[in-house]
Order: sequence, then structure tokens, then C-alpha cells
Amino acid sequence: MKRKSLIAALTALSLIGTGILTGCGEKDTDTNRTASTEQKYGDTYPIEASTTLTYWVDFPNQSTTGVTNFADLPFYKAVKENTGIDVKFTHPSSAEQNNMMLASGEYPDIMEVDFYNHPGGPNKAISDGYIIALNDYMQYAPNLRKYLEEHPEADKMCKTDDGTYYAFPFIRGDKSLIVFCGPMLRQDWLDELNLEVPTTLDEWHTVLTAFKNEKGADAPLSFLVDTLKSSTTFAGAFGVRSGLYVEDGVVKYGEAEPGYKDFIATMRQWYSEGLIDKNVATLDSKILDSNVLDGKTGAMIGNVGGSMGKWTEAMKSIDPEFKLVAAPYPSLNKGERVKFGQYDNMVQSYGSASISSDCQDVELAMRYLDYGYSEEGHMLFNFGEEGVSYNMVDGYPQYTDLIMNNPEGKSFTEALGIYCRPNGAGPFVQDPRYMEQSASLPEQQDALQVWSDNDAEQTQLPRIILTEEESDRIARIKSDLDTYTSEAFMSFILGTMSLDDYDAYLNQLKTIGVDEYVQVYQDAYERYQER
Amino acid sequence: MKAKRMRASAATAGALTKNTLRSRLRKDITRNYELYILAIPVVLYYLYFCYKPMLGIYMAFTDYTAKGGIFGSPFVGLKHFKDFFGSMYFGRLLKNTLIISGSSILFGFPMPIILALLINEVRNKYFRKTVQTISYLPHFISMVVICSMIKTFVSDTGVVGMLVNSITGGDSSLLNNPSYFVPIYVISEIWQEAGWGSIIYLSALMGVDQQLYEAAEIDGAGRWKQTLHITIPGIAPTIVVMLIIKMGSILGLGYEKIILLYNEAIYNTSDVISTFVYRKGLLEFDYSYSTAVGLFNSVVNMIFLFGSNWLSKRFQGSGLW
Amino acid sequence: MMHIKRSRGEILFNIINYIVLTIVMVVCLYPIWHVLMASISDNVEIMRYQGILVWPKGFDLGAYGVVMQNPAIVSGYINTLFVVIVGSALNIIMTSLAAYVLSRKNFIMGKPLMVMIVITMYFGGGLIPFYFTVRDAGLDGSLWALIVPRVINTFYLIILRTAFMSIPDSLEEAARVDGASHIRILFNVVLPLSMPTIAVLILYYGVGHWNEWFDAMIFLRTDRDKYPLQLILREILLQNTMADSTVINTDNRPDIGETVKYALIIVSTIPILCVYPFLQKYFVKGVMVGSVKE
Repeated sequence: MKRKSLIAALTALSLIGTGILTGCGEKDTDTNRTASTEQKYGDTYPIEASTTLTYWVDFPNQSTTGVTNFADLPFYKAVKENTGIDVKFTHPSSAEQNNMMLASGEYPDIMEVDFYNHPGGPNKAISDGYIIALNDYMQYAPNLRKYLEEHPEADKMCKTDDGTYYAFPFIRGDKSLIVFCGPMLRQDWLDELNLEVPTTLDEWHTVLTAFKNEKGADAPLSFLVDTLKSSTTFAGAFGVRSGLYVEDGVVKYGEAEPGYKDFIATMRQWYSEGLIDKNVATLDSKILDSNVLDGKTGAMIGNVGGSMGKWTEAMKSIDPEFKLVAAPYPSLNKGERVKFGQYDNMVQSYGSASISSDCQDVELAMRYLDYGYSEEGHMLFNFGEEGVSYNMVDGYPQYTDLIMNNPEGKSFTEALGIYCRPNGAGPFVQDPRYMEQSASLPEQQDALQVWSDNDAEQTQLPRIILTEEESDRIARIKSDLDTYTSEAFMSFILGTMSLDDYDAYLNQLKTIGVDEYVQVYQDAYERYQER
Repeated sequence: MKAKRMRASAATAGALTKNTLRSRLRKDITRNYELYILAIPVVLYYLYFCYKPMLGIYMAFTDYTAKGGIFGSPFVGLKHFKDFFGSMYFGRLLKNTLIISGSSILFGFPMPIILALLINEVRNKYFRKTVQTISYLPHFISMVVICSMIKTFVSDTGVVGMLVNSITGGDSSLLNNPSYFVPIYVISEIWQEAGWGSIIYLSALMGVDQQLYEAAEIDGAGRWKQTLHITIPGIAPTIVVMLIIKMGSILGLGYEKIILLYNEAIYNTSDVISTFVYRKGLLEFDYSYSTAVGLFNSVVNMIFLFGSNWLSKRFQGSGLW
Repeated sequence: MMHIKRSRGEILFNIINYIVLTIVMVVCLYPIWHVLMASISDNVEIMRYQGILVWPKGFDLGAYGVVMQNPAIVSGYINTLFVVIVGSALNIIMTSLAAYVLSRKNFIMGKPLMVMIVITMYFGGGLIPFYFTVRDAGLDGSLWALIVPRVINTFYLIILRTAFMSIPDSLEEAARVDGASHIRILFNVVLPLSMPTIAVLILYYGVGHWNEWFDAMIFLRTDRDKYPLQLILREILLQNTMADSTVINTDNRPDIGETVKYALIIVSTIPILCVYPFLQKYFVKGVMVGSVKE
């Protein structure tokens, strides 16, 4: 407690400091705000407020919902009625518009903008005058506070190293929401060829060769390179993954680790044998779709919905036999447990809502955002209105036919986007019961289980935050490293670079500064551990 | 009366070239006051919408923050330039940008002219108009769609890919091979823009004096000679202007098309300044860094512009100014 | 009209020329043909297919229904038309004015002005200062923000200036002797003689306004009802990629059909394609010759 109040005092001080520095601006909002920390509203909804808040948020599915503003959605009408707070929404349609809004120096009260990735971290965003620290106002967010107190691991991810809260986070409320991507194969082909779902690299090799020879698949295995890397498929068998991860408290950069060479060699071998799509370097999601739908491909890496569900649905009319099955993240030896897998952090940077430095009624904004974490808000955000979009059946919120079989022919996502928000990130806690009904095919439910069965949780780098000085230091190193490693990776696989050059490759990483890069993240990781 | 007086003063102005700048200017104002008035809206436009924002170049030397504004943000000197020049890829990026831009000019620039000349030779009015209208269509198809077509064509199962592979013995997409990237970029650029670019030359061709052709035919000059000695000199001013402007945008190669076509395996020949900056992702928040890169591009472009203008004046007698 | 006996070489050239231009036409017609055929195909078949598209894969006009139901398309059309018509008109007026002033040979400020103008093609402060300038002019959030700040395109100005400079001095002299003012010379002598170039610039400016989306994105951030067509098109074309990158897409159905994207391209492209044939009538040879003869 002591520590907390000290931090609060420090943040307040730093705010006053920036207030003086930037005080030449036309309005001095900081003094107004410190004066208004007195509680104005009651703790229960609806709140009687005359102020209208302004809210900046992405609205990607405008064309499918049929409205152009959140305020016209049945969902936000319900939020307004329940909270009693009137909100004017503005929706950017691109990252550039976000940037322009931020650069213009005039901000709406609430912004769903990713300040976690702001260079120098959220603290820098606060000292630069974009957003405010929420610590002084947390008493106006009793619901969020309650959740964070009950979930200390989420709490840790929501604040910066010095304990500053800077946003109302998007929280994935269960492990089943954290894993959603992995390798999959055509079950119907496996059955036809009398093969089991492969679990080791050797088995994968056998299956892919069979797909190529027996099924005439031109591209037995297809994937987007980014997905291959981010999902850690195949690399995990050699005890590494692409990018940064943590092992026994030590931060590592996969591309510079010993196992990576074996991973590259395997991929190169498969490519030269024609097991990986010949066009893998130029593959985009459109070509991947056509590979799968045209029967050129029998194994792929993708998401449970956006890939597995989409392909299954599309293939219904082409090949009714088509069926996919998720494979576990493969290991080198049978029965080995892999350390890696796709794993998202519980708290995400997207969908988080921050309060801007221009906000005149911080308490009201806090209370509005806090609603999403209340019991009533939680149900509304995840399932919509009872009796309309869901019904309680034996204590389980079941989506109605309005969502599951929309009479207007809207898809699950489209219909859901009208009545609630669980399929989009936002300031609330995502409910696993949404996913249970969304990924409704048995193979999808199966996939979520299969892909979670590994130790990815331990190796995943948490939401660490670099200081401004650190981001400056690695800015050049990072862009050179990214370019060099991805170029070398592809060149090794396609065979344009010889594996004999691997030592030269490692030396080049050193020259670029990989050690300094890892060290910076190691420091930040240690700071995170001490939070 | 008035016109006579003006011509007289123009003559004296020519005679008194030794006059001081100020008195020449004063004379010019009295003589051309009408032009000065007409120039006012133009000058105001350029001052306000072009020169005022130009002060923002200062951002390249600061760490821009919104609340600080353009001139209130912390000064960091050459930090962003050091970041950019310090990259181990700086040399390669510059080289690739120059090669891709240079080949686009070398091979792409003459194409609209040739196309315009060919169209000009067509006597059938309807055929001529049809060719004109159809040849500029690719310009209107969005880049994403065009690039996905290009990728399909050059893949191992595409028309162009199979053709080239049957000669070279390759077996994968042409875009996997670093040495094919520049030809693919340049040829598709011609495909997209030659028809659109030819419009300006077609209009310039309309201005060529028809009497010259009639005279040439009487002299017995064939079509080839007419083209060489009448048509091309007739549109030469347009060609020169277009070329100088192209030269002056040599580093201004955009990222959109390259991002859609390239891949990691061929960074070696396809990664350029704009794609590198784009990938760096710093555009997100770091306005100062992109301003610094933009400033570097501008300086190099200006050198090329002034250089080619000087060459043009020297060898051709006229330039942009 | 003169008729001269064609040599064998010329006949051969003509044949080759027709063949070459026919190939050019086929190659250039393909992209829009592909888009058109894809737009009337079956969605799943299009997802599945890669390669050259000569005829539609399956047949389904549903995509056009989806496009037409989108209310933003109509408002987009209206906004775009306003910007194209008003914008291009102002463009032509201002550009002619500037080109006229800069093409006068006995105007000693001509050269410094030209250098000052050419520099602006290369040096700019980037997006942020430009945005502030436009905002300070009070144009933020208005369709005029798409017109006024870009009222002269320096590149086109140079083209027009070149055309003006190629008009024989004798014509201008003659008008001067008659006591004509500069404005009258511009409108009665210079512009009529430069119609082919003016037609090209109308096309260039018009197409430029038609295809414009970036300025609209920057200056009309909060005013969706003012979005021009291309910005709406872009939003929909990029919709999937945006959703994919931020959210787990758990839906079992593709968000928006491939065919809908193609139909949108057709709907938003065809009108502007029809402009050029109308402008072609200004591409007439011998305008100059006729007036020189007087």
C-alpha cells in the first residue's frame, strides 16, 4: 500500500512537471483535473451525468452490421441505457488516421489505441501528454480493481514497471482463449491412406511424402512464413522458436540459438523434396486459400476459425468428404513434450482503452469504462441482451438463433458484432463460453485442446516494457536484425544460401548487435519479474 | 499605343543589361504589372500550402511529440540520420532504389513515347481511338489486384513463369529468384503505365505543324524519315520536360507495389528505402524519423533534378527553367 | 488530302503496327476483364482458382447486390462527383493562370518563380505540418480540403507551361498590337490553341480526384458521410486484413466475399473510364495550323 501511494504521488508530480513544460498550450487541463479528483458520481449505474464523452475506436465490421457508428448498434444503446452515460463515437478507418489524431494534439476523452507499443512505453506516452496515468482515479473503477485483485497475473501485465496503470485492458479470461493457432491436416486424406495424425517430425515427413505421392498434392504443406514463425511449429521440436522467448529466466533470441540450424536444415530438406509449397516465399493468404480449396495442400498452419472453420465451410460445396484435424505441435522424439506453441498473452495491447490528457471529466470516463468489467457489463459485452441474443439455459448463456442461425443470413461473427463485442478486442474480459459456441465444430474444439498441450506458457515472453532509452538503443539493431534474419531464413530454405555459411550467419548476427538486443530485453524482463 | 510603348521599353531593357537588378525589376513591374497581378494568387498558394509546411523539415532534427508541436519538441540533432545511415543495409537500400528507379526510367520512359508514335501512325480513326482507350485501362485497376495477377503469372504454374522456366530450367516462382525482380517490376510497370503515359505525348503530337509533313511528302521523305525529322523534334520539348521530372524523383520510389511483390528471399535486389522504412514500423509513431529519411530523399532528388536540367540546357538548349 | 503511293515497306510497317497494337490491346484489356469476370463468378470457385480468368467460374450476380445495398456507396458517389467537377474546374483555372505567367518570355520574375515552384515538388515537411496548415486554413473536415490545398499540381503546371511556350510568339504579338490584355490573350489565344493539353490535364486532374483517398482519410477523419468513393472502397478491400491482424477470427465463413471486392472495383471504376472517350475529340490535329493562317 505504501509503495502504491508513493508511486501515485510520483506520477502526480511528474504530471505537474509536464504541465509546466507544456503549459504554453492554450488550455491547461492538468490543473483542472487535479481539482476534479473529488468524487462527483455515485457508485451505482445508471449515473446521472450531463457530460457527453468522446470515444475513439476502430469499427472494422461496419459494412456487415449495417450501421456506421457504435451509437446506433443495439449493443451500445444498451450500454448507454445501463450506464446512463452518453458517448459520441468516432471511428478511424486506418492506422494513418490514428496517427494523425495523435499527432494533431487534440484528443477525444477515451481512445482505444495501443499505447503499450508506444516507443518508450506507456510511461512515455503519459509524459508526452497523450494519455494520463489512472492510478489516482482507480477508486472510480471498482469492478476492474476487483478483477485485478482476484487475478494478480493479469494485474502484473496491466501496469508498467513502476506500477502505473495506463489503460482499461482487453483480457482473455481463460486459457482456451489464448491458444488458437497451430498445425492441421486433412483428416480425410489421412484416413484414406491409413495414417495416424503425426506427432513427430519423422511422422510428419512420412505423411507429407504420402500426400505428395499418393494424393498428388503439388504442395503437401503450405503456410504463410509469418504464421510458421509466430506459431513456433516445427522449430519447437528442436527446442527453439523464432524471435524472443524466455527459458529458465534467461531471455533468448531463437535465430541465434543452436537448435535453429536444425530447424532450418529440416525445412530446407522438406522444401527440396517438394513437401513444402514451391511458392512458399511468395505465398499470401489468397494463394493459401486456393491451395487448400483446390486440393493441392493437405497440411497447413492456421487459426481455428479464420483458417480451419473458413476452409471447412467453403469446401462443403466442393468436396463433402473434406475434414480437417489439428495435429499437436510436433516433437523430435515420440512422446517428448515440446516447450513451444502459439500462445498469446492474457492481457493484450490491442483493444485497450486509455483516457486522454484532454479529458475534462476523468471520473465519468473511468466509470464508463469500468462498466465493461462489472457483472452486468461482462454479460452484455460477451453475450448481449438476455432474451434477445442469448438465453440462460441451466446457468449457461446460450446464444439464440439470432446469432447462431441468423434469419437475415448473417454469419456468426456478423450477427455477434451487432449485439455484443466478444469477437473484437475491447475493454472487458473475454468469456470462454463465447469461444465454446463460436468454434462450434468438434474438430475446432479438439484443436484448442491439442494445441494447448505444451509448455508454451513458460517460455512465452511476458508483456515487458522497454524504457525510452532502451527503445532508442535497439531501434537500429532491431530493424537490421529483422531484415537479416528473415532474409537469411528464406535463403537457407530455398537453397540460395548454403548451410556451410551458417557460421558466417551467426557472426553477422553478432555484428549487428544481437547480444545487446537480447541484453536489453533481459533487463526489461528482470524489471518485469520484480513488479 | 500602349502596346507600342511596351515594345519600345522591352527593347531598351534588352539594351541596358548592365543595369542594376533593382532598376530592372522596377522597369519590369511597370511593363508587366498585369502579370504581377495575375501571379499573386499563384504565389500565395505556393507560399501558404507548400512553403509553410516546409518549415516542418525541422522535425527531422527533433523527437516530435504532439503536445510539444513542431518547434517545441526536444531537439536531438542528427539522431535520426545516424539511425538511418548507420544501418548495415543503407548501402544496399540506396543501390536497389537507384537500380529499380533507373531501370524504370531507362526502359519505362521510352515506352509511352513509342506507343504514342505507333498509335499516331494508325490511319483508321476508330482503331486509333480504341487502342488509346484500352491501353490506359490497367492504370485504373487497384495495385493489390494487379500485383496478385503478376504473382500468378510468374508463379511456377503461371504463363510467364512456365515460359521462362522452360528456357532456364527453373522450377519455382520467378519471384524466388533475386535476378528476376527488377525485370518483373519494370515490365509490369510498363504494362500498367505506358498507355496512361502516352496520352500526354498524343496530345503533344497534335501540336506538330501539319504543313511540315505536307512539305516533307512533296520532298519524297518516307514515314520513317518524317518521324525522325518532324514528329520527334516536334514533341521533344514535352519529352525533355518529362524526363527531367522523372530524373528528379529517382529516390521517390514508393513502397506499395514492392511490398506486394517482394519476399524475404529476394530482399537482396528488391528491398528499397521506402520498404525498409515501412517495415521498420516506426512510421507508426516516429514522424521525425520518416521526415529525416524524406529529407535525405529530397536532397538526392534535387541533385538529380538540377543535374539533368543542366545537362538538358547544355545539350538541348532548354530546360525546366 | 494528299494521296501518295505507299511503298512496300510502309505497307509492311502498317501490318506490323496493327498486329503490335492489337497485342497491346489484349494485354491491357486483361486486368479489367479479369476483375469483371471475377465479379460475376461464384465466390468459393474464385477463392479456389488461381490463373488466367477468361470466363467466369460459375455465375453469380449476388456480389453486385451486396455492393448496391451499401448506403455509403451512394453518398460516396455524390462526394466524389463534387470533388471531381469543382476540383478539376478550379485546377484548370489556377494551373492555366500559373502556366501563362510562367511562360511569358519577357517577364524577369519568371525564372525565379519557376525555381521556387519546382523546389516544392521535392521538399515538403511531410504529413504533419501539411495537416496543420490545412487545419489552420479552416478546411479540416470539409470537402474543400480535398480541393484547395492541391489546386495546382506542379508537374501538370510544367506540362501546360511547355505547351504554352510552344505557341508561336507571332500570334501573341498580333493580339498585343490589337491592344488585348493578358487575360484576353490567355482566354482568346493561348487556351484555344492548347486544347489538346488542356484536355489531358482535365483527364489527369479528374482521374486524380476520382482516385484520391489519402487526403480524405487525413482530413475527413470524423465525417464519414463526406467520405469519397475510393476511401470506402479501400476500407472494404482492406477490411479483412485489418480484422485478421488484431483479432482472432473465429468465424467459419469468410468475412466478405472475394467477388464483392471485385464488384466494388467495377462499380467504382467504370464511370471514370467513360471520361476519356469524350475528351478525345479535343485531340485534333492541325488546330495550330489553321489559326496561324488566319
